[in-house]
Amino acid sequence: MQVRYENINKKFGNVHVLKNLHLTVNDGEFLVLLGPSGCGKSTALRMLAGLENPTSGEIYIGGQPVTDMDPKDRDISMVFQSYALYPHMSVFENITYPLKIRKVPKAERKKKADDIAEILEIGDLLKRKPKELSGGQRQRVALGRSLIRQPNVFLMDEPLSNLDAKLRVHMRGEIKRLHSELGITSVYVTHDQTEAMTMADRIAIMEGGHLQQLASPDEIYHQPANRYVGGFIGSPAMNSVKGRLNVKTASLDFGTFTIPIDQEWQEILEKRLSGQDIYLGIRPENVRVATKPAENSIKGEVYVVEPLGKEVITIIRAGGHTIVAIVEPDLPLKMNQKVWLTFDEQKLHMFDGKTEEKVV
Amino acid sequence: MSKESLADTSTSSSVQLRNNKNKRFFKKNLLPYWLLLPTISILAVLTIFPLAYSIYVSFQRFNTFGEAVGFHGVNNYADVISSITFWNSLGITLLYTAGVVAVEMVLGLALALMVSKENKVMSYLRWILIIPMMLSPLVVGIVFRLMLNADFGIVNYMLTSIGLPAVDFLGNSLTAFLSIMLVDVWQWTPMCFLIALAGLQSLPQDPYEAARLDGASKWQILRDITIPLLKPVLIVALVIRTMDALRMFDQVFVLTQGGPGRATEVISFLMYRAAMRFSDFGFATAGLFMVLVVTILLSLIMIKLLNRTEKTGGY
Repeated sequence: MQVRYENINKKFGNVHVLKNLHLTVNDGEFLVLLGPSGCGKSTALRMLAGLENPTSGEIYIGGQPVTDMDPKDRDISMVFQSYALYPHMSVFENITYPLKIRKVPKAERKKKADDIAEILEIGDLLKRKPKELSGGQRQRVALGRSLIRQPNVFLMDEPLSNLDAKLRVHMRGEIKRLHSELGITSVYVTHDQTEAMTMADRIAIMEGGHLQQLASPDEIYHQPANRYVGGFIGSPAMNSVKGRLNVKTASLDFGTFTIPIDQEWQEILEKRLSGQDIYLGIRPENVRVATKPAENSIKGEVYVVEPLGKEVITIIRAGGHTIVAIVEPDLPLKMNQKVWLTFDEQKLHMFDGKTEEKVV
Repeated sequence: MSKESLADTSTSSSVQLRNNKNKRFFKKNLLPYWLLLPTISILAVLTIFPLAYSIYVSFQRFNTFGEAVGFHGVNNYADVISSITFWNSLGITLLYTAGVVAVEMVLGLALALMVSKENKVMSYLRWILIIPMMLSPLVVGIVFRLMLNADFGIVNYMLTSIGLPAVDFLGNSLTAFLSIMLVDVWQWTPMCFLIALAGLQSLPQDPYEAARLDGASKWQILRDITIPLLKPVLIVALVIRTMDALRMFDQVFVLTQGGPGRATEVISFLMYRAAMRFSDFGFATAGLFMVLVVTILLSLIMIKLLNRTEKTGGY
C-alpha cells in the first residue's frame, strides 16, 4: 500500500523536528529513512504509526488520510528498537496477541504462530518468556509479532541496533529476504548507512528535519544531491575541498594547488559559478596515489596508513588539505613519505560554495 | 633433634598460628555485630519485650482489678475459641476487611489511571488525593461523626434539602457498618492510589505503544498489559491494606463504639473492651494472637501469590 507524507511539520515546543516533509513510499517498496540522531527520522516513522501527531500536514495510507486515525485503525505493525515485547506473556502469546485482539480462533492462531515460528526459527522458544531470550531471539519474536497479521505497512525503528555485529549482518539478510517474499510496503529507520545501502529499494536521507535526498542506493552513492549526502554516505567519507574556478586557465584553484578540468565541467561551471567558491567532492577510491610525480598531480605527504587487508586507507596531507585515499595493499607507503595524487575526472562531484547543492 | 620432636614443634606452631588466625577472624567479624547492637537493643526494648510479655500475659489469669493471679495455661485461648462474640467479631472484621480492601484497590487503581498523565492539573490533583492519608484517623473519625450525625449532620441536611428522608447512619446496624467502611475507604484509598501510581509511572512505555499498534483498545490494554504488569505492585498494596484493615480500631472507637448492639464490634475493639473495661487482659491478648495468626496466614497466601507473579512475569 502506498504511503504519502504531505507537507508534514512537527514541533516539540520550540524545536522544529520535521520541516515540510514531502515523501511518497510506493506500494511494496522497502524505503529506508537514514540520518544521524535527532534528524527527525524516528519522528516521521512514529507519525506514520500514529504514535505522534504532526503539527501540520497530512499523512495518507493507500490514498486514505490517516492523520487523525488511531494507531489501531491504521493496520500497521512495527518493530521497535527495544523490541517492546510483552514481558508477562510467553513467546507464543506475544506473537499471537494481534490475532487474539482480532478474535481469531485459537486453532488458527496456533497454526499461524507455528508457521511464523518456522520462518523465524523460533519454534522451540514458544513457551519461554521474553526475559529468558537473547537479544537476537527477542528481535525475531518482535518480527514475528509484526508479521503474523500481514499489515498494510510494516515499520521498523532501528531493529538491529541492539544486536552484535555478526547477528546484525545475518538479520539484515533475513529481513530483506522476508520483504521480498511478503511484498509488504516497509519503512525502515536507521542511522547505519550499510544497513540502508544493503536493504533499501530507495533511501530517504534526512538531516536537521529536512529531507536531503530520496533516491536508490546507487544514485545516492554516485550522484549525491548535496555535500551533506556525499559526506554522509560512503566509508571513509567523501573528500571535500573548497576551491575557486579559474576560467582563464580552465582549472580549479585550491590556493596551494590547482587541478585542470575537462571541457564538460568547464562549460557547466562557467555558466553557473565563474569566480565563485565551489566544493570539490571526490571519493577515496577515486583518488590515485603514486610515488612518482605525473602530469597534473598534486604533491602530498603520507600522514597515516591504515591497512585493512584487501585495501589500505591512506590519509594524505596536500597543500593544507587532508585527503583520504584507498590504495592497493601492494603499494608500499610509509608515514611522512612524499606521494603524488591525481583525481579521477569522471568521478568528480562539484557542490555550490554557498548552498552546498550539487552543481548540474 | 629427633624426627618426632620436629613434628611436634611444627604441629604446636601451626596450632598457635590457627589460634591467632581465629582471634583475628573473630575480632574482624564481630565488628558488624557491635555496630548492630544499638539497633538490636532498641528493637529488644520496643518490640521484642512487649511481644514476649504479651505472650506471657495471654497465659495468665486476671482478677477484676486487672491483677495477674496465676498461670492459666491455654484456657484463655480456649475461652476465645468458645466465645460467640469472638467469632461474631472475627466475621465482622473479615467482612469489613474484604469490603474495604476490595473497594480501595479498585478505586485506588482507577484514580491512579486517571491522574497518571503528566501535566500540571494532574500533579495538583495527585497532591489533593493523598491529603486524607495524612490526617490522623482519630480526627477523621470525629469529622465523620459530626457529618453523619442523625440530627445536625451535614449529610442528613443535604439529604433532606433535596427531599430525601434523614438516615440515622450510626444508629442502624447496616448503615453503621457501611459508615465505618466509608470512613476507611475515604482515608485509605489514597494509599492504594499512591502505590498504584508509583507502579504505573515506572512501567515501560514500549509495550503500550506496541499494543496500540497491535490493535488493542483502551480496555484491552488495561486488561492485557497494565494490570498484569502492575500485579506485583498491586499485591504489595493488597498485603499492606489487608494487614491494616484486620487491625482497624480508630473508626469504631470514635464513631460507633462497636454498636449498635455488636454490629460494628471488630476484633480489635472487642479485645480492647475485654482488656480496658473488664480487665481480662489474658482473654484480650489471647484473642489478638488469634488475629495475628489469621493475619499471618492471609499475608503468606498473598506473598506466595506475589512470588509466583514475579517468577512468571516482569522484567
